[in-house]
Parts: sequence; C-alpha cells; structure tokens
Amino acid sequence: MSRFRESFKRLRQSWFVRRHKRIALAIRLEQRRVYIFLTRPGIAFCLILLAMLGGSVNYDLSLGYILVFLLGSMTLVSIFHTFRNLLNLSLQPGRCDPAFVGEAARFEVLVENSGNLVRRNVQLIYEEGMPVAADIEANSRSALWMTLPAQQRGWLVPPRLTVYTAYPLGLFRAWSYCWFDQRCLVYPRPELYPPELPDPGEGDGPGAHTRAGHDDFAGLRQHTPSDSPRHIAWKAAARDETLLLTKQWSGEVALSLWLEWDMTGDDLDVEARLSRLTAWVLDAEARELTFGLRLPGKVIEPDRGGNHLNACLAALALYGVKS
Amino acid sequence: MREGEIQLNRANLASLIAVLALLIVPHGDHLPWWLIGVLGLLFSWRLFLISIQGRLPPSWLLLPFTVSLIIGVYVEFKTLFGRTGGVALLSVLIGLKLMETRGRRDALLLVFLGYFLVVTNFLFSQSFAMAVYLLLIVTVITALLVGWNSVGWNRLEGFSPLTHLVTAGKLLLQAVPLMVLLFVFFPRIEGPLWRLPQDRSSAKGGLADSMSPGSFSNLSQSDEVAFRVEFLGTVPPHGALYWRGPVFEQYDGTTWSQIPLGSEPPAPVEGIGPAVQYQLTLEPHQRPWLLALDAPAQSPGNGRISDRMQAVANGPVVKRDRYALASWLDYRMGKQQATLMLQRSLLLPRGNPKARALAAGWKALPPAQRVTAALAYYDSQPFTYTLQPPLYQGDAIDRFLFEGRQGFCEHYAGSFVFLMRAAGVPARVVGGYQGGELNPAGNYLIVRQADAHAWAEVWLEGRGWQRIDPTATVAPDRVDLGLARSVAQSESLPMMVRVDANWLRGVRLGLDAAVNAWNQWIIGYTPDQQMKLLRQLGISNLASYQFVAWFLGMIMAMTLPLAAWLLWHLRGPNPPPEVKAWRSFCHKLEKAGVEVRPSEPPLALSQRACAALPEHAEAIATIIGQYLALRYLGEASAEGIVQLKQQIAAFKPRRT
Repeated sequence: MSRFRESFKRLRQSWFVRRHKRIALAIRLEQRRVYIFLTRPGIAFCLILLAMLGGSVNYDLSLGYILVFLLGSMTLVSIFHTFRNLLNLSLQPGRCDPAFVGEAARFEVLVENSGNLVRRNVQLIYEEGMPVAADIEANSRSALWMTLPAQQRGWLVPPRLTVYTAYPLGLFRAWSYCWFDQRCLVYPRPELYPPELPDPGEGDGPGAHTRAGHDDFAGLRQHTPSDSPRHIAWKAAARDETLLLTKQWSGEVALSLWLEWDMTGDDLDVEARLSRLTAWVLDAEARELTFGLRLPGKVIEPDRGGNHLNACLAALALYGVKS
Repeated sequence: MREGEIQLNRANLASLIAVLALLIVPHGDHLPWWLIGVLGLLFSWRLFLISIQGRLPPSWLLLPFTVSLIIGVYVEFKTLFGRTGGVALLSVLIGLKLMETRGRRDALLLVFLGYFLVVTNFLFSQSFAMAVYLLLIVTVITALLVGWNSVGWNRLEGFSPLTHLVTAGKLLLQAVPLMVLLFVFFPRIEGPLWRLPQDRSSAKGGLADSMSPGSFSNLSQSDEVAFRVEFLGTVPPHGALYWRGPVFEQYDGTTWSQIPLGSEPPAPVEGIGPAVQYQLTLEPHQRPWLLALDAPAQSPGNGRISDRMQAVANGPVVKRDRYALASWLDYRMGKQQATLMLQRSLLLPRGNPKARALAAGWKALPPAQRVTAALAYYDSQPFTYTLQPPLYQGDAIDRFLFEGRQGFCEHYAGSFVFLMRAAGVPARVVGGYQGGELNPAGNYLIVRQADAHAWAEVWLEGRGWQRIDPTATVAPDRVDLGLARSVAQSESLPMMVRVDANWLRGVRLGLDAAVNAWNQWIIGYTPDQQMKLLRQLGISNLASYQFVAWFLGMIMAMTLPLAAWLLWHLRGPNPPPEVKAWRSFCHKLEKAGVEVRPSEPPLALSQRACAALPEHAEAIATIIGQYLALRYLGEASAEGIVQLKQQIAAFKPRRT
C-alpha cells in the first residue's frame, strides 16, 4: 500500500515538474497553472456536513436541511473565492544576498497583483521550511523574502517554490508552483577562533617580505568610497570643503599580506582550511589591511575594499565547485 | 498540506468561546443543572486563561475529569446518543476540548463542532425566531473561520474583525440561490434512518388517553395551538365545528377510557349534502389519533378510519403532520351496528344509585324520548358551566347530578352517557375539540387546546349514532360562540382565548399567520410535499436520468454566472488602446515563432523580429515605430491609434 502510495506520489511530482520548468522570468499564475483541492480541514468539514445531513434526514429537520445546503453551497462558492485569490498574480525572482554557511540565505520574490482585488493571505513556501504569508494590495507589487538555511558552501539553488492560499474559508487550497532560476552564493563558515593572521614574512610569494603597519604617515590621496572614514583627513577637509582626502600609511601600500592555502596547516581538511581562510579574510578586511588570496589554481592580487572582499569570499565559496 | 501550528489569536478564541456558549444556552432546559454548572465553569475558566495568558491544565488532570463527566451524562440519560443524551455528550466534549485548544487545528475542530451544535438546536425548536438567532450565529462562526484563514504577516491597514464578518456575510449571501435550489429539489428521504429508543418523547399537553374529572378543564388553561385548518370553500358555522378525536366507551366509575382499536372496517356512513373539504395541520401530540371534522367521509392519506369513526394515524404523531380530509356535517352513521359494540355501549360499573333511579323512570319511554327527557332534566335543574368545578368523589355522577351541579364538559358528557346507558340507550363519550378561531390574517382556523371538548353519542334504532351535546343545553354559547363567551368573565382564561379585543391580540394573530406559513412552507416541506411540487413541474421520478441531468444542469447554471462574476472582479485597470494593440501584435509575432520576452525593449524585439521574419521587416519596423511614438513620445492621438490598429490588422506573418 505504502509502496503504491510512494510511486503515485513520485508520478504526480514528476508530472508537476514537467509542467513547471525552472524559469528565470516572471510567471503569471494563469488558469491552467493554478490547482485547487480540498484541504484536510475541508475534508473534515465535508464529513461533518454529511453527518448533519444524516441527522436532518433522521429527525426530519427542515432547518437542518437548510443549514446543510447553505453551508454546502458556501463551500462550493468558496472554491471560486480561493481560486481567484491566486489567479493572475505574477511572481518574479528578485535579488538574493550571499550568506555564510550556518546562516539563512535570503531570496527575494516579487509578487505582483495587477488586478483590482486585494489578495489576502497568499503564502509562499519552499518544499521545506516556514511559509511566508502576505496580503497583496490591488495594483501593487510586494517583495517577499524567502529564507533557506545555507548548509553548504557554493551555489545554493532554491527548490521549487509553492505559492498557495486557502483564503477565505480554508476548506479549499489553491496552489501553483514556481521554479525560479535563482541562486545564492554561500560562503564557507568562518572559523570561530582562528589563529592570528599569519605574519606577512612567512609567505614566499611576491611582496611577502613587506610588513603590515599603520604607523608611518606617507601622505594624502584622493578619497574613494571604499576608504575607511577613520582614514579621512578631516582637518584637511575642514580647510577646503571640496577636498576629501584619505591619509595614506606606508604599511598599506608597500606591505601586502598574502593569505595562502599552505598557511592553514597540513592537519586540516579542505573545508576546515577554507573556513580558516574565510576567517582570515574577514579579519584582514576588518583591520583594513591590503591582502591577497592564493588558493590552488586561483590567485587574487592584493587589494582592499568591498569588491575585493566579495571576490575573495566568492573564490573561497566556489573552491573546487564545478560550475 | 502543511499546517504550521500558528499561535491562536486571543480575540478570535474568545469570540469562539462566546459563540459556543450562545449555542449551548438554548439547550439549557434539557440539560441537567450540574452539567450546566460544569460547562459554565469550563467556559469561564478558559476565558480567564486567555485573559491572563495562563497555561492550560495538563492532560493527566483532564482525562479522569472527562471520563467522570461522560459517566455522569450516562447516569443522567441512560445513554450517550439520541437527542438529549447526544447533546449533553457533545457539550461535554466541546467544554473539555476548549481546555486543550492550543493551535489552529483545535480551533478549526471547535468551529466545525459549532456548526454541528446549530443543528442540534433544531432538534428542539424549528421556530422562526430560533432560525434567525442561529443564522446570525452561523454568520459569526463563518467570520471566525475567515479570521483563521487571514493570518497574514503583512496586515493591511483597517483590517478588523468586521471585515471578516462582511466577508462571511457575502459568502453566505452568494450561497443562498444555490441553497434554495438544493432545498427545493434535493431528493428528500423519508426518515428516520435510525431511531433511538428514548427519542420517543413523552406525551405533553393535549387531549389525554382517557377522560377523568378535570382533564378537560385543565386544558382550558392552555392557549397552545392544537391544529390549524384551511377550508376549501366557506368555513362551516361555529356550532358545527365538532373535531372528532378519541372515543371513550369504557367507564370504571371515575375514568372514561378507550377500548383498543381492532382492524374492523369503518362504520357505514351516509352523507347528507356536500362534503366539506379541508387541510388540517396537526401539531405533534405523541398519540396515534388524528382530528377530523365530525364525521369524516374518507380516510386521511396518513392513516385510516376506525370502526368508531375516528381518524387514526399509523403511529404516534411525533412531528407536525398535514393531511387533507373531507367530512359530512350532516350524516347517518352506523344504522346497522354490530351488536357487540352496542352491548358494550350499555355497560356500567356499580354505584350511583340515584342516577340509576332517575334513568329507570324513563325506561317506559321510546329511546328517542329518553334522550329528550335526560336533556330536559339538565335544562330544568340549576346546572352551571364552569372552568373550576368541585371534585366529586365516591358516587361522582350522583354527587354532580344531585348535589354540586357545577361542571365542565367532561361532567356533562360523562353523566349524560351514564344516564343513557342506565336507561338502556347505547351511548358513548366522544373527545375532541369544538369550535376554533378564524384568523383573518391567513384565512384559516386556529384550534387551541382550550377548545378541547367532550360530547356524547347515542345509538337509536333506524337513525344510527347521533351526536348529543349536553353542554350545549346548559351553556348554548359554548358551542355557538366559544368558550370565552360561555363562562363568567371573572374566570381566568389564557390571553389568546379571551374575547376582550386588544391590539396585542391582533398582533398575535398576525404572528400566528406568519408561523403557519413558516410551518407549511419551510418546516413542513416533506418528501410528500416535494413530490407534489415536482409533479406539478412535470417531474415524476427523482431517480430518472432526466431529473439528475436537469438538477446538475441547474446547479451549473447557477454556479457559472457567479464564478464569472467573481473572476470579472479580478481584472486590472483598462490598459490604454495602444497597449492593447501592441499586445495583439506581440501575440501575432509569437504565433509566427518569434519569442516575445517581457523584459525586452521594443527596439530590441524589432531587431530580432526583423531578423526572424525578413520578408516583413518593413511592416514590423513601421508598427514598432508607430507604437513607440504613441506610447513614449507623447504623440498619442486618435488617428495615430487607428493607424496603428490598421497596420497591425494588415500584418499577417506566416510561419515558415
């Protein structure tokens, strides 16, 4: 019995998968994409209606008949209400924010209601996890953020998204599937208590002999948005309002830190090494150091700033991942 | 079907508890006091827990409590099913379920049980007021159901419980046409499907099985409706309205009782003049007899006529019953009567020597004159007709005839039959109702319990059974004008029976007409009524394919316009004409095999389309140029749009 059930489930799923291909564009929930069926409470309600009908027959209760017919008709009417609560909504994949392993990856889904009717309690859910529910006002677009646990570094591809509603009575559930071509980059989990940043002298790459330092003031240069506000020459800025200069320190330009695969220690496995490197990268960025990253098969030249950090983290996330 | 167990909304849960309480309140008079107390305690405890957000009692405490309450119900009702027992059990279970209602699923179950409780209320009353009360409650329950399915996290402004109530009301209103269709045409099955022993409720007011002193005068205090009659044609005069009920033939010195009915055929009746046709709606009285105008000319559809000319049903009348009958007001009944019946109509117990002596004096007269002599005796002595006769003990007939001389109809009928039997004339007591009140608001007759009456029948050679009403000799107004005009004003009568006209009485008569219509058309819509109606519509068989097809067709015909109307509300604002034209152009391109991507700017589409359909490149470029000019360059004009439409109409790419 259960085997039969399993295979039926698989058959049904594969039918749905064939009907709803992964797609990068907006999906409009047209009539043929929206399914509707009784919910479990709906089935219970129908059984209770049957019991009420039996009682009305047995005791010849005209008003009992009226009530059963009224509630039955209401159930029937609610099918259309539930169905139209989902019909003609448009769903579109939005942005996704990178996350570290152990955090929640967030995917944006834009739900657009181009009709004149408020859609109440529309819920979105990935195959597992908590649903996100929203009322979507008439002629508007709502951005809903879906979360998935980031469990593995690399690309996190969300599973099929189910959009459903049981409004107004919860007796019927209308649903549809959206399988968006969306992916989110998951960085390795930073090691919690990593060893100190390696001494720049330890490496044997170019520039490894330079020394990190904040001590020697070297001069001023044009400010760029990636510079830390702490390094802005506020005094100079006060003198001339058009001028925003960044103080430069001898260490930052001349000394660049190399974070290397080989520095992480031979006793660690690949993930642990990546984890340590991630922690170092974050640490180096926090200290505003100029650093480079050297992984087997991938070298990122020393630099600083957000883009550089993201590039390094992406390299770590995708190390060994087939594209 | 995942169900996240969402924490319950406190206001919603409190309203649910209130609604359930309102549904149990009408059951108050058939639930034992201890159960009402326990339920009150459970409900208020739960409300208290909501207000302080306290923890629910643990299950080890609830379980023994549940078991003991169920045992209590069983001890009280000797069963857990049927009407009263079932309702008691259901309320116990609801009260206890409240104590472990945590999540949405529990609350949903309670909502469904709430709907079920509504039906249990109909078991005890199907009055109009009850229907209105319960309809309001059904709307509120539905609003709660809507509330539980509206748990959005992005709550809109101004989204209040009132919104749910409006939604529920709309849903119910939209369901009404379909409900009416189902009510009228859904094939009805004659109940009961099952019957539980204690469902036969005990006899309440109304005529009793037997006639003893006081049994009729007690009824005069009740203005409850016994039955209602609609006449086809004119209503007979008040004095002719003798509604024949049980016939009492046996007398034991205090009580007149019926001899069990056999299966003998009805006594032969010759009618004189046309029969009166009428429809009688009898309120349930839990006894097998029906009421018929004296004397019935045909069997009612739901029963037969006994050898004593009573209309009897096939079983106790446990629900309101409507039947058509015809009666002769003037008749000869039982000219040739079986000797057995005549013999038993002469039997008398020992006692009452004075009455026997009085009757013995008439024995020399021919039978018809003995009757006259007896009536003359009542006329000559100072008898009074009163609602509060003294209690006559011992030789009750003697005491009444020669000492008290105050009596109600049962005294006159009983003593008269006694005298007749003692004088050798076969006689019997007939119980029933006399008269009735014509309700001008609905043009039908209301007969109340206070109209209960007893009279006598004597059998005379060559004439058969003849009705003699000794009460009419003493108080002629009782028969011609009704009870209220025949007793002294000081005697207390129920409001609806008194004559003093007041406006309240008019209102109550109007209400009674409404109640009657409600009973006839809504409550009395039985399988028989349904068949009658369907036959008028030309449908003879509910199981025929034609009917099923017609029925399903009607459901579709009522549902589809509603669905169309609901979906029509979904549409967005109308797009400007150039966008409409543009969409039809895109549609044509797609048919020709050019994929249209919503994100693509029109110029990019133009390039791709031209590449894909080089032979139409010029047309495509013109159309897109025109569209861009209209839509984005602010050159929208009526002619421009007409032009665009023409260009698009002329554009007929063929798939290669």
